[in-house]
Amino acid sequence: MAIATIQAFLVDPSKAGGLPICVGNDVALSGKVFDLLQDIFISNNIRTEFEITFNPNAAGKQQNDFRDSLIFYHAAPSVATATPLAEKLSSVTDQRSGKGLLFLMTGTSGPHQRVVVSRFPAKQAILAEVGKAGLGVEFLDQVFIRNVKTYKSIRLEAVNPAVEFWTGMVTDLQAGGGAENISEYWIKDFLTADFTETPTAGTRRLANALKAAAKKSNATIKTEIAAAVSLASNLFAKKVVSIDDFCKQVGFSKATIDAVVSEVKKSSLASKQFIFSASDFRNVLPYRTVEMNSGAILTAPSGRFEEVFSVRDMGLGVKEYSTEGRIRDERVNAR
Amino acid sequence: MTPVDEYDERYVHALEPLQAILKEHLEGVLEGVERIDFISVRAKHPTSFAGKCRKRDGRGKLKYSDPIRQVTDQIGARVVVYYASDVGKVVRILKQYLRYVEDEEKSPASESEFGYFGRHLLFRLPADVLEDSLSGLYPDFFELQVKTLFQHAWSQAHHGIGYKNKHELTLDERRKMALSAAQAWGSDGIFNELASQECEDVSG
Repeated sequence: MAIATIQAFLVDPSKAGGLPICVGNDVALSGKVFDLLQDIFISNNIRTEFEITFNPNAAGKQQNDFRDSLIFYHAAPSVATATPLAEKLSSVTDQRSGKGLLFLMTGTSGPHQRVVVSRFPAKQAILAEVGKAGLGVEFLDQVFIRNVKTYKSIRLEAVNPAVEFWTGMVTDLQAGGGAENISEYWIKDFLTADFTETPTAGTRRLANALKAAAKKSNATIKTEIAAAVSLASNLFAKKVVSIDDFCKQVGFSKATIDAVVSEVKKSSLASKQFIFSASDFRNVLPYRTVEMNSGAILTAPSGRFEEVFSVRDMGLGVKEYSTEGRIRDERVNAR
Repeated sequence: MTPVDEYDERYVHALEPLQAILKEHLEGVLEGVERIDFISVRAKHPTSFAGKCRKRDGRGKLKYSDPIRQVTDQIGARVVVYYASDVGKVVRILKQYLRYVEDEEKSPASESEFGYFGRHLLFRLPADVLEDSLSGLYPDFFELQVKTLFQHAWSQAHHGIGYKNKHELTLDERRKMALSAAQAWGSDGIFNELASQECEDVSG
C-alpha cells in the first residue's frame, strides 16, 4: 500500500454566504506529517467505519457532483483539481464546525486505486517554551491534529474508479466513532451520500430474527426475547447497533443468542451495523408495554394486550391492571 | 481472461444462483403489498453479455471499455403491478430497504409520442443475498423495473417484434406500434381512475 500524492487545504466556513475560502498546497511524501497521514491512508477499522453510497442527482440520474469532482481529482491529483472539493467543504461548513484542515490522498492498495479524504478540526492551544529569557507563553489560534484520532474521513477503493466509485467507507472519530454521531454535514451535505444499510433493512432483519427465534424456542428464551423487545424501542432508537450488539446489550443468555443468530441468513449479517428504527421494529414485533409509577412494567403482544390484562379506572389517573395465568418463568435480572 | 470469460465464471458461480435468492428477498420486502401481479429476477445470459461487449457507439468505438464493471443489468429484476398508482407505492417501499443510485421514469421524449413507459431503478445489491465467499463475483448494483400490467405487456410484445426485429420496421408498422402503446397508456389511465374511484367508494 503506497501513497502517491497528498494535497492539503486550510478550509474556512462559508455556509452563511460569500465565496468558499480555502488555500491549498502539495504535501511532501516524507517527514512527520507524511508518517501521520500514511497511518490514516492505510487504516481499515471496521468498528468505526460505515459504508455509504452516493446519492443520485435531483433528477434521479446516476450522477453525483461530489463523486464527479473526486474522479476528476483522482485522474490527475493536484491542488488545482482538488480545489473544487475543498470549496465544496467550505460551502457546507458553518461557524459551529469552524475552520478545518483537509487532506486528499491518492495511492494504491493491492490491485485497487485508493483515495482518502480527511478533515481535521482547528483547535486552540497555548505554546509554552523555555528560552533565554525564561518561560515564553504564546496563544496559538490554529492547531490541527492535536489528537490524531479525531478526524472525519472517506475512503474509496476500486479497480476502475471512474466506474466503481459509488460507495465508500466513512468514519467520524472526531464525534466518537458511532454512525449516529457522523455529522449530517460530512455525509449528507459534503459527500451528498447516505448509509448503504438503510435503518429499515437492518432493523427488520433484527426483528425478524427475534420473532423467528421466539416462535421456535422454549419458554425461557421466549421470555428473554419478550422482555428485550418491550424495552428495545426506548433503548436503541436512532442508535447504531448490530444483531450481535443487541443481544449483548439486552443481556441475552448464550442459548438465546444462539437461537437469534441462527435465524440470520449468514453469520456476517449478525455483525452488520445499522441505525435502529423504533417504528420498523414495532411493525414487525408489536409489543405494547405500560410502565407504572409503582415500578411495574406490563408487556404483552399489542394486539392481545387488552385481552391479557384487564384494566380498572380507579380515578385521578390511577389504573389497576390484572391478569391470570400460570407462571412459566420468573427471574431476577442483575442488570 | 477476457470480459466474456470472466462473465461466464461470474454467471455460473454467482449470478445464476442469485436469481432465486434475490427474488425471494424482494418478495419478503414487498410482502403484504396489494396488487402486485408478479416479481421476477433474471441474470443476464452470457450470450447477451457477449453481445453487449461487442456493441459500438455512433463513431464505431466500443460502447463499453470495461464491460464487467460497466454493464449494469447483469442482474435485472421486475415488479409488475396492476395500476399506475401502485408503481410509486412499490418504489417507496423498495427505497426504504435498498439504497439506490438511479431512479428514472422512462417515457417517450415528446407528449405526442407513444412507446415504452416504465420506472427504472438501479439498486445496491443487499448483503442479505450475497454469498460472502463469492464477493468478487457480484456486481455492485442491479436494475429493477416497476411496471403496470399494460406497460409490461406492451414492452414484452414490442421486445419480440419491434426492438429485436431483423428488418427495419416500416413507417406504417411503427405507427401500429405507437398505436398499441397509446392504447396501453390509455388503458392504464382508465384502470387507474376506476381503481381510485373504487377506493373512494370503499372508504366511504
